[in-house]
Amino acid sequence: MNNFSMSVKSANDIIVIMPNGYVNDLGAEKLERACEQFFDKGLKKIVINFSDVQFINSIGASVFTSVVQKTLEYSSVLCFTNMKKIHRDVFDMLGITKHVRVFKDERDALNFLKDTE
Amino acid sequence: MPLRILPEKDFFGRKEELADLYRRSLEAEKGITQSVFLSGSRGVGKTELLKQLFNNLFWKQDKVAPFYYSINSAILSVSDFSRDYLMRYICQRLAFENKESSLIYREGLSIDGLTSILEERKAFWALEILDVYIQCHEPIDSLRIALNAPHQSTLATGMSVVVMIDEFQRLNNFHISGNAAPILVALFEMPLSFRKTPHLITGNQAEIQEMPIIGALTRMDVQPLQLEDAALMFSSLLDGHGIKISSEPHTLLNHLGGNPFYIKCVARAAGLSKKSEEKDCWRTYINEISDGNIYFYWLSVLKSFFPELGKRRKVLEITNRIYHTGESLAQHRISKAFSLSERDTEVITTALYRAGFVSGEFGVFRAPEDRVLIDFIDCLYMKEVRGKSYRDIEMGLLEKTADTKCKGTSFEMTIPMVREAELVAAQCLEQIGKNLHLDEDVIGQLQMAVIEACINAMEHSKGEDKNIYLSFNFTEDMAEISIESSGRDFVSQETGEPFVGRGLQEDAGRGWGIKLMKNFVDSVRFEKTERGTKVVLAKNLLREARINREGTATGE
Repeated sequence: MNNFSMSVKSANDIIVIMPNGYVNDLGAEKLERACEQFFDKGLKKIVINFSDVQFINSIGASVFTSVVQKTLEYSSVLCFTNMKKIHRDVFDMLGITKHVRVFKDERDALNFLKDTE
Repeated sequence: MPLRILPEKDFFGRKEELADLYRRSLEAEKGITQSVFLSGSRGVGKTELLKQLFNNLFWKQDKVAPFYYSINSAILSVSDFSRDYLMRYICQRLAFENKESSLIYREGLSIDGLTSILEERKAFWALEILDVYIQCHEPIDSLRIALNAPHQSTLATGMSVVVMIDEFQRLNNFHISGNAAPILVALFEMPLSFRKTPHLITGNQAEIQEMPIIGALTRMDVQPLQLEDAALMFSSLLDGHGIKISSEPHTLLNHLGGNPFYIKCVARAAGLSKKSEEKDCWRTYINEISDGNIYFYWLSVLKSFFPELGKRRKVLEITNRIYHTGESLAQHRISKAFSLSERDTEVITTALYRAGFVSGEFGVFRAPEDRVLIDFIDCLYMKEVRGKSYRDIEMGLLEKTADTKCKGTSFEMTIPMVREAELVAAQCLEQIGKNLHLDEDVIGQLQMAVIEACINAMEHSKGEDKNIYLSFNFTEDMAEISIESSGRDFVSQETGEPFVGRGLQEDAGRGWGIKLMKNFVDSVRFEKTERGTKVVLAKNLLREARINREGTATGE
């Protein structure tokens, strides 16, 4: 069974990742690898749009701590958008939202990143 | 102990509020603390919270002096009040300086006696305030001097003061030589505005909300206890009677609404009768509301707001109608239904509102959220208006409580232990939630907890049974979901809690699973069963829906 998929789009130097379905350990690791690849290519602005995420479990959420770690190592900016309240609560509990920029929707994040060096 | 308080082990579910108030109190030193109105329903524990704060401030630091004063109904002439307030303030302030708690209880001290103590200790700041007070012969000026004493002492000594006033609404009965002077409460406005002597005020919420000083206060709500804390408190109280219980009566505790006063009353009565099974506890509860401490408490409130014997029967009829009409009642409808003049109806409904028997500060009245109070009124109405016998009342209430326990929806399902099967349970839960019109956020929280519980079950499964057995039970106000599987090693025999050992500790994600469960429901119980292990998740749906509604209303 696999209830996770992911799509990626880019706008200039900004990458937008759209996970879909169930973010468990496997899904989150796919997301983590994708982010690493973009960081390795020198891209420093990543948006993760959660609008199509249905569920996140604790293992999936905790994988995001290493994504945040990588973001800091690469001096990059990571933005979360379109989060359901429950998902926001989970990330708050894990202390992840302290290290990322959270926006109500994708457009707000893109506007913010356009003005960011 | 400076003030008599509950031992720390019996003070449940208030750590955050206490820490917050303690932190705010210490900020008085910087002159940035606003005065606070500590609001909350009767019995929720506001007084205990203030007393705990007083003791913490008294013993744990020496920068901000605490002053606790509970307004006494017998000392409401302005002259008597001023003298008592001032002398108690000076005594408590001196007690704090020397960590000498005996000074707090110096009853019957004369002004001369206090002067001698102050001279002996060279407390010149206090002598100065006392001297000004002695020279003053106007009651209103004396009151001003007393109320401003904390501020004056701060100016003289540099030490900030946190002033805690309990039963503040009683000041509505201020009088000078027998003439009512409730407006004098407005003299608190200035003391309340001083940032180095912030005031914490509490008492009867409905009455304080109507007082002129309310605009000068920041409101802080004291919430009922979470179900888990209520269960801990109940067990601990029974433990004090030498009774160990295998499982707490969750449906009853939920009915008590997290109110520590009710929990104490029922636990004490259950402890004395030495009967602690859930069905016994319901019977104990019925005794409590028909003839026990809860009954006498609410009866005394009713009598104090309606001292005229002739009015009480009508008051009971009106209250019963408001509780059981199923909609809010405007004043004119009550007048018409009971053939009362608008004026008489206003007097009665205002008193009912101020006493806390009904909600509706804009003249449209409805039942409060307190189901124990509703049961008390039902009981009293049956006895006094309908003339029912105690036996009839008991039977009626037992039937009603049986309804509370039984009315509900249950689903059971079995899922195999295969990857991502937890999503099947989560999806079912979503549909159940929609059918029951549950709040979307509540469904999300329950789904999150169920997903984590299922994953735990899969990880700790032992033996050949590779299934997870789920049971979803919903009543009007409560969700209880159990997740059972083989997996004996998951729960410690001694503590009933899951092991945090190999496996859980190594994998940070799994450790978070249990924290997430605990965060999203009110109680998480781990039980050993024939089959293996059962995790029981319980969530109070009424409180959650209220919190979410309030969150939406405040634009969060």
